[in-house]
Amino acid sequence: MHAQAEERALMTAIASGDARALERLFARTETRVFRFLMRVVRNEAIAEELLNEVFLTVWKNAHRYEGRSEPVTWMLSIAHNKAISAMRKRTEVTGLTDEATTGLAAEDDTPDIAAQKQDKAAKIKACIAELSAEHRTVLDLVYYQEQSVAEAAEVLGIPEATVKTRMFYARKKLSELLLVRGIDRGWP
Amino acid sequence: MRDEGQERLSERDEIEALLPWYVTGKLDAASRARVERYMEAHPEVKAHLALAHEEADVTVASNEAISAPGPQTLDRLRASIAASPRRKPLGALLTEFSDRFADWVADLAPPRLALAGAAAALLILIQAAAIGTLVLERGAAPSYQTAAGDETPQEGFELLVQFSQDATAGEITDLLKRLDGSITGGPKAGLFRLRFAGAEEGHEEAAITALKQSGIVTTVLPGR
Repeated sequence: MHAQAEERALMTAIASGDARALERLFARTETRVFRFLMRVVRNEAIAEELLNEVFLTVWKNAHRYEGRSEPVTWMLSIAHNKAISAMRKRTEVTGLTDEATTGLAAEDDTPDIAAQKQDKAAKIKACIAELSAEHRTVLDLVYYQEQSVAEAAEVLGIPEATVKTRMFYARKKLSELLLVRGIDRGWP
Repeated sequence: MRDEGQERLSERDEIEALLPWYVTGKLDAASRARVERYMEAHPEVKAHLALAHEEADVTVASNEAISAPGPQTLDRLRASIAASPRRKPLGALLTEFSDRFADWVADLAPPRLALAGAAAALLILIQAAAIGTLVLERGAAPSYQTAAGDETPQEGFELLVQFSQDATAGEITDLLKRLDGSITGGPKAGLFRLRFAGAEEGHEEAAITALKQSGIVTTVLPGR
């Protein structure tokens, strides 16, 4: 059976109260969902907490899954809501915005990593890490999670046109950051 | 940051924006053909595909560098499930009850069938009570400040929404913040009236989808 069809079948089983189906879905998708959460919240303990909450929500609400999108898209949408909520609470508690914490990640680099940044891929990686959470998330959704325009719109809860615009500005900002590091991509 | 939701991209910029989906093979046929036509007429854009490939490689590598969560996460999930047994949805409960009722009727001798009418009436009463309970539970939900200025026409749109029983005030607040919405009325028959800002094409549809997929909304109806 196709992977997506299997996941849909698991959702049907979960909706009928099959806890083993939930465990199978968890085994298939936990890493994807966890990485998505990690890229947003950048904290392993928080990401693990949210991962638990996401699958608990799936367990409680599987009967509301309408099958209009793939189960992974539905789960990423739940994960996005929870991650944004957690980020907002963290900002309220610490006073640190996502933009403020992006610089902190770079300071944690080991000398080895700092040396690696000499090459272009490492510079692109560093610049992506410097993007805002919104811009980073749209890149992750498309390149790693392989979501279509419509699916990304569903995960983010915004119109498709806004997804495209956000992607454009994410890539434009990335080019600007690379230019500062001496890499001229010739676009925009 | 620019208001990305309001700005309209030029054709060239929109093609550039679509390149990531082009390289991941996730464009629909019409958009893919559009990108290819544009690249044929503007060969310099084709060179930009390499940029998208670079971004894709680095993004994938960055994600894969994140270790998978530890084995304790499954144990934790099992414990969470055990601590919060799921209530069956009302529909499933009624179906189950109806099935048992049908079996019971099938076993009845003819003189006792008169009793079945009374049992059917009981079923209807149980259903009404169950739905009534749902409405009452929603009525006990946290109250929200309603939007001001009801008398003046506002840009945007309204929807009628029923939240799930287990939705927390925090989850509802976060969802409304994210969708730029506010509660302007209700609950009436379990439904809250929500107003959303923004008149952009596709915004209402996106909001409906986001609400339905939020995991904390059970019903979405047009507010008009």
